[in-house]
Amino acid sequence: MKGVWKCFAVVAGLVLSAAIQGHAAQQDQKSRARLYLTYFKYSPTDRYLNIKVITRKERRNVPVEDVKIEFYLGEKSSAGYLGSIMTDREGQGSLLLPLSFYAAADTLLSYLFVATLTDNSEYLDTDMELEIIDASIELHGIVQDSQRTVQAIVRVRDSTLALVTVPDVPLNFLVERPLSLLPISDLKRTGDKGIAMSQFPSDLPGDREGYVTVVVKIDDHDPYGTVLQRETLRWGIPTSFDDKSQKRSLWSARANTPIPLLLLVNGLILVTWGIMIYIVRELLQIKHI
Amino acid sequence: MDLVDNPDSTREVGKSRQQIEQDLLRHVTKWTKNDKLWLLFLGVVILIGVFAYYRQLRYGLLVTAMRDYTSWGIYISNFVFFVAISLVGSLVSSILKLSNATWSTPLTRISEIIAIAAIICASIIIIVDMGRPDRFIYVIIFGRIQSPIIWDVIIIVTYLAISILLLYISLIPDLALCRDKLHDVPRWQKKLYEVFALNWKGEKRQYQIIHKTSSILCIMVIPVAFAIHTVTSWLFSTTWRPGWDSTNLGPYFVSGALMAGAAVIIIAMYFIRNSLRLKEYITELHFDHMGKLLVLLSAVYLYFNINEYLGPSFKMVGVEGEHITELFFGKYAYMYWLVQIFGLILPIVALIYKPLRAPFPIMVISFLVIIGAWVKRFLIVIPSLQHPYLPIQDVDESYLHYIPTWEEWAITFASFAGVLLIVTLIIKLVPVIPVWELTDNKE
Repeated sequence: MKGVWKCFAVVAGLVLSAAIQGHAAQQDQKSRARLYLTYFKYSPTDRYLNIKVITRKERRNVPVEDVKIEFYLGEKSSAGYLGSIMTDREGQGSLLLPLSFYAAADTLLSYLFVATLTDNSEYLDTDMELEIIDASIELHGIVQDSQRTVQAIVRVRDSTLALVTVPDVPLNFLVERPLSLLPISDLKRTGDKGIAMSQFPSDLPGDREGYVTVVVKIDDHDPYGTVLQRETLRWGIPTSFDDKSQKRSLWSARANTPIPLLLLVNGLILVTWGIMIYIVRELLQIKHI
Repeated sequence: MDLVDNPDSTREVGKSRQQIEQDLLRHVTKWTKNDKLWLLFLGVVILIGVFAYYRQLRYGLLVTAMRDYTSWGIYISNFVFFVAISLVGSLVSSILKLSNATWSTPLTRISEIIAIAAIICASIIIIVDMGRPDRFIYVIIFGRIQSPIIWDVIIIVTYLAISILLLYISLIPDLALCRDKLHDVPRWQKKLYEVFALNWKGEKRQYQIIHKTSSILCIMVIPVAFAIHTVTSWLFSTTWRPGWDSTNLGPYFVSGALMAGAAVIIIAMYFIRNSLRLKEYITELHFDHMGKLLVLLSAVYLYFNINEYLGPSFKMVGVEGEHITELFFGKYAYMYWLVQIFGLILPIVALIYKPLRAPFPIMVISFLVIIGAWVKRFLIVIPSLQHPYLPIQDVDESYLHYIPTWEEWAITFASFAGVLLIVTLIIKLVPVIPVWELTDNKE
């Protein structure tokens, strides 16, 4: 009987060792992926985590497509789970922070975000942590002696969770244009009182009524991430836009069809389909003869 | 009434009513082993195409060879080809009918079935060409009536509806015949005949309605058929590319379509005649007449071809000149000249001789015409797109060439299989030759 147990122990040992070696070999064949995690705060209730996943192939960085990335707040547990995304062709993905984050956010001095890539058949398990201190920007438009100035105040929470101003934070002052954000000054830094100011140009075109949206941005900052604050001010020059595209023409980009064409096409449709409806009606009479 | 009443058909067919009914209903009830193998083959081709389309949906249009320059590939060539052959319906069941060419009676239903199958697959292939087919509904909801694409959508739907009505009206008496004579068919098929036969009893008033409605449709289908291919040509001529900036494009497309349609009907006649044993109904005389018609239509198309290329090749201006050079002497020259010689000159020259209008030779020539017609659409679409008036600076090398991927070919072949499947299924459900028109339409 002892011999049988000995035999069993040897076989089990061999199987276990083969399995461990197999697993190790499988791990060896996997590639290493790198994660880059960034934080965006577009408004207090609109925050994202962006991830970019790359790998090295033939001495080049190549985006990793179609891998699942899970996000956690604090630690990798179901309690801290924020959500997951699949990376796109650029190896990127964004996660809109869920309500559960906001519930926990107000009680934390800083947020520790963890992004993980696990259980992937091609890539080794890896993760990245990002610690963010929640910063908020207060934005004011000040008019003094006909001079227009944009004032921004940056605040964070101290150890008692009270909001305090922060000095030496780099700020971009921008305005929204149709396709991008236009800088209206050089990079500014907050002073001792956490305040930065930028003059607003006097010749900036606004919409029809002169409204422009001013944006103040902390850009990819450690430890604040990217934080934006917007304010719409009536400080632009009212601008009337070329409304050719609104007029009725064949080449108009909008649905402003020339009246004669509208009548012609609809007339043709009505006549043709009217005849067809008449024919169907006639055919249905066959049944009652 | 045992003998057929139609003097033309009695003379040609020389059979009693029962014999004609028996001959023309035979293929509806029987499913031979060959039929099943044929359906299986078509099914496999379609499934491969569906898999390729799944890949296209999953990975996007990146799986195709279409890029910023060649943004319309073989899908659009195929679309134009299907729209072209759908004109066969109006050619045979309307133009020939209105010109009192009674010999074409046995060919009307075949042509109408092909027209419907082609236009259905043309519509599908357009949706396949879309990167986001889920947004197709926006074309209807937010369509701009001044866009030729909307005109195309409207006209395709209208032509499909008219073609279905044309086929259905001529089918009603034959559906009633199937209802009354076919007893060995499944219950659903029997029910189908009962519902769609509209309680047909062969009353005089019922015939009057059929004749009146089909006459209206025969007239109406001609402008709609011309419009469908003219509007398709406008999709090109309103786009700013060399080779398409031509006022000749509408009639050029329509004449090419009628020619391709005639060739398709000849091929269909040949295979239907042989596989369904209908040699007494689709005779050598029909091939002879269709051969003469094909010569005429090819000559008209040749005329428009000369019009299309003479002006630009005489002037050789800028990008238009580059486009013409590429067609005449460049990388597309072998395709261009093969199409012109085998797809256009050959039918005109060869089919003048009566022996070559016999069923087999004319089928082979028509096959060449059809291949030429498909390649011709390729030549209309692709080389023009590769010569934009405003080229991209430092353009990616891949934009300058277009070699369709296997997914594009698989979907294209699946669309052909789709046409053949629709044609086969309709032929297995209803008589392929209008029985009532051969037996009692003189009432």
